[in-house]
Amino acid sequence: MTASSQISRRDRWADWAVIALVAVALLSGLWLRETTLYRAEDFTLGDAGLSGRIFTGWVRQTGTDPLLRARNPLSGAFNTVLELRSRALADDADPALVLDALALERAATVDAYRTLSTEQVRVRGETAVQRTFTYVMVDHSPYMNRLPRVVRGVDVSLRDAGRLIVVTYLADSETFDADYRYFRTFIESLRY
Amino acid sequence: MDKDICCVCHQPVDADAKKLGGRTYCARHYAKVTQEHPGAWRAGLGMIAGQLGFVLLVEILVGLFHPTFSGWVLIAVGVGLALLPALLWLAFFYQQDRLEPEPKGYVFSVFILGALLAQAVGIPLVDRVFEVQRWLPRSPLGGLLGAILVIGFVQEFLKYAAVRYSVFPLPEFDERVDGVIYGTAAGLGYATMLNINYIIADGGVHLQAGVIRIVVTALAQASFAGLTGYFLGRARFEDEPSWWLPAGVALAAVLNGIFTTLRGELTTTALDLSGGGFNPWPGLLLATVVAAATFGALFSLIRRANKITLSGVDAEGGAQ
Amino acid sequence: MSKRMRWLFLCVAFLLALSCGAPNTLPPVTPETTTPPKATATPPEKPVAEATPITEKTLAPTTPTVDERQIRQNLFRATVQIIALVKEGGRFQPLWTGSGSILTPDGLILTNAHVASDPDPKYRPDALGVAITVRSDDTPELRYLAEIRAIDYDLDLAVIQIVSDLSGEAVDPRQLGLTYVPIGDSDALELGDLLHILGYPGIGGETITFTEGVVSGFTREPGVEGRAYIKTDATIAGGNSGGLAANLSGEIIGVPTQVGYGGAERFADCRYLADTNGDGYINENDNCIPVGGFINAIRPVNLAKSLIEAAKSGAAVVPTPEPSRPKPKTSGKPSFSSIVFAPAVDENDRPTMAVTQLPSGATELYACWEYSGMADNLSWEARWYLDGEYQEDISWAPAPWAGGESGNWWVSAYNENGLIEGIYRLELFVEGKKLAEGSIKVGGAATPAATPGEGLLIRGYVINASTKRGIEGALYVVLMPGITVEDWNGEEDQVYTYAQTDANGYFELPYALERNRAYSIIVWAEGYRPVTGDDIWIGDEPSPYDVEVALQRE
Repeated sequence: MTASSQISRRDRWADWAVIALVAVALLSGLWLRETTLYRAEDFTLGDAGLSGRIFTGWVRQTGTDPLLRARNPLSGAFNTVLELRSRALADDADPALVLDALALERAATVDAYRTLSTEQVRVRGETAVQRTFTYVMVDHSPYMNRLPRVVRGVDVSLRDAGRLIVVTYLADSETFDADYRYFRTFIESLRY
Repeated sequence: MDKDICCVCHQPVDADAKKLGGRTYCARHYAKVTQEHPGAWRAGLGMIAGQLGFVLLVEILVGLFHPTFSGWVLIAVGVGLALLPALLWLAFFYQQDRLEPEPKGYVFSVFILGALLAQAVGIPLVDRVFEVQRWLPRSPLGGLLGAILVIGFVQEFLKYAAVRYSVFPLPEFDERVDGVIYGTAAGLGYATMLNINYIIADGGVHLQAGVIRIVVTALAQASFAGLTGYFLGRARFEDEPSWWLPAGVALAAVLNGIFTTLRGELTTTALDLSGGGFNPWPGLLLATVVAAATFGALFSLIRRANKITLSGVDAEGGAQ
Repeated sequence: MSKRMRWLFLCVAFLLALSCGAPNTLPPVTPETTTPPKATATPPEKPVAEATPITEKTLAPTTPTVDERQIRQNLFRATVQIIALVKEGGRFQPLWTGSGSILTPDGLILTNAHVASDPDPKYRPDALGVAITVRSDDTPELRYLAEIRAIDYDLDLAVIQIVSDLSGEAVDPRQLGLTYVPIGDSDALELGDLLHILGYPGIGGETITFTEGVVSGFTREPGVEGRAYIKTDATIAGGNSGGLAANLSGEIIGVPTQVGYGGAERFADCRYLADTNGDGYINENDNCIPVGGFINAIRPVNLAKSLIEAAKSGAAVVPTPEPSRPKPKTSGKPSFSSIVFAPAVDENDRPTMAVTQLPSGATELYACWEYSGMADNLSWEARWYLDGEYQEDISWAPAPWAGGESGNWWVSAYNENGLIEGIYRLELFVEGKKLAEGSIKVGGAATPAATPGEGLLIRGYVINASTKRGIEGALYVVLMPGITVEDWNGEEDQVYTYAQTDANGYFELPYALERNRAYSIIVWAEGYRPVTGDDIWIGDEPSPYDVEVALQRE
């Protein structure tokens, strides 16, 4: 009542200034979070004519097949993985040929492999074929006691002259949605 | 602004009323502002020493008897330990605060408010919205910045709010020292909630490392909140520029962030062949030093301000 | 309390109620219902101290820098407990227990015939459970079921093969990767030679036991050529029957055998230990589990060699009906067994012994494997690599297969001046697809342990610093020598080796670290502060080396 009339303008401003300051700090914190979690650096695969941005702190391995395999060591029991492959494919051939071959290779090495769906999606302004699948990662070592983990994966195939570029995303089913953003950002960053 | 009223009790005052820092006071409250409150300081000192003793006692007991608690018993014991620092201070404070005591209900209420804000807003915000555990460890600089911006500001703002929007405008907030007192209460409430979450989250902690962590958290949160409370106290009784309070909260936040990062660095030992990686004792040392320094500084600042006021150097009031 | 405070309280209490709806404020408290974590507050114990082998060095043959503890570690892992199971009321119940020794990484196990079965069909088990020791201070973990492949009741020896996990799901033997013992020569033993005897004395709560003894004599038996039994002065508990008797080099040279045991005799000295019929009482209606008895006789392993070969080739002594129709040309998928390396092959083209390392100066190296599902004229290829480099002159370029549908095959590497030292890797391809690969080291001190014994194998736990419980999914990463934690740019090539913790926080590095080198190590887990160390020196610590790393929550 009378109290509010005694509060000088300066005091009112002070109150709001604190709130404003905290809001600014939190927004900066949010920005810091974004940049730290999704910080990326450039990579180039000269032989394959591919380049893009892969996330800092991820353990990388380049090779012939897959061309690039990066995994996030901090994502828990099953490390989230991004893979990049290039397979020769005639320009008028169906990407399903390559995706099926990939599925067969995977099914031979993992347990309970199932393809979940195949659909057309729009990526980078063009249509691409996307296949989702799942499998169970079981450690057969007689000396370790690992919980089996359900892994969900996505293969997205991008067309390029004379070849199909397949980007694969593998993640534990529990972190699949949270880490999906890494997959999207990675695909968007590819140049070929 | 035309009719003068005491800025504390909002009663009208005479024309020759004392002024302090641009604010008007009635005679009674002018005297109260500068009231020495030795009980509060003794309680603070007692708390620091008491917590250290408490840690050593628990360590010795656990070392001697090697109790093996598990399940609900372990959690209950842990929660009991988590409550102890706050209870220690409250007990000290109530016992020491005999001369013109603070209304005990208010102190306890601010303590509870600090705890509730921690549980309802602070912890969910830091852990689930910002998910600091995912990105703070990634880089040292980013970790420090993040600790300040996210952890520091969230915690300090909530503790500030626990005081500012409750007792601050009330007439019972009438001494410079009250800022520090209520700030400490809010800080301990926040710390208690943090500690209870820490105990419960992993299904019970090992008592030796756990009790150190509990005391470190309590000392740190109380110190920084006490600092904020000091700023609030000054703002209450003197005209301060509008950047004064934000600066106070910011300072507390920065110190909080630096402390968090420093404690993490000090308690993480280098890996050697047989393992290692963790030593909680440097954290305790750091927290003790910080608490002693903070309360010591606040104590002398307030004492000095009181002396200056009492000696009548203040130009606006009449000579004492 | 003032109105303002009350209002504030209400608001905050409401927010609190909202936030409590969110999960994980009260976590799943895991008291006694879950398996107790294996991590303890004190560092993991080292294996029980054995009697100091005094004159071991003088008795041992020419092996200089034998890492004795590493050899013993391999022996622990290669000795299994065999539990004979019978199905009663839809559940498996224990009938008796014994021990066995793993001979190949595919899960071929040597044991006594009376452990695997019984000449009297009345007492035959319905299944054989195989329990494996992961750590010498833990009880063995029941993991697999096995079937008899070859059995000889007169010799009292049997060879069984792991076929499925406990649920009955078939396992792919090639994926098992079990630690095994190489087979030694029991005829080379002499009186006074030291023996290491391992096995499981009893059921329930007993860990693997280790006894040391000396060869105190040999016995002969009509119908058995050469040494029928090796006698030892060690007193071995009855449960060790079927287990492992090894020489100092870590090779199996015999099977401790309880003489005259089997049939009804078996149950004369037994106890009622468990409620096997599930009626809630432990009484004479339950299975009587044989206990006790002592052994001091060991069946020489040379007597088992033909049984082992029979088991490997699939010609089981337990006869299976032959298919009356000749099999079609391309029957099923071509498959190769694991490659077994040997210094020589016998007249049946079988390896004389399985080795993982050949001494320098060895002139011949044989790589042997079993095959099935093959067909003539399929294109097959054998590629040899020495330290990663393709060796054209000893490899087999793609050529038509002429080995028939199934059998055993070998390829060899030969150099009359001694094979060039290094790691030899063989890759076998059929129709362009790799079917098998294996590696062997030539050179260095001969350490015929089942895994390379020269370096330091690190294993242990990564625990939460506050709760002291294991962290699942933590990574223990060792960088290549010379690369510090700062330098590391995230390339997998710069990682020497790494391991991930299991549900108990336990990990084992798959490769040994070379000694007298410094490494940088990083330990990571999500939500915890990483812990790193540079310049960690590997000296002559005993292998395997147990570590415990504590991580604190952020």
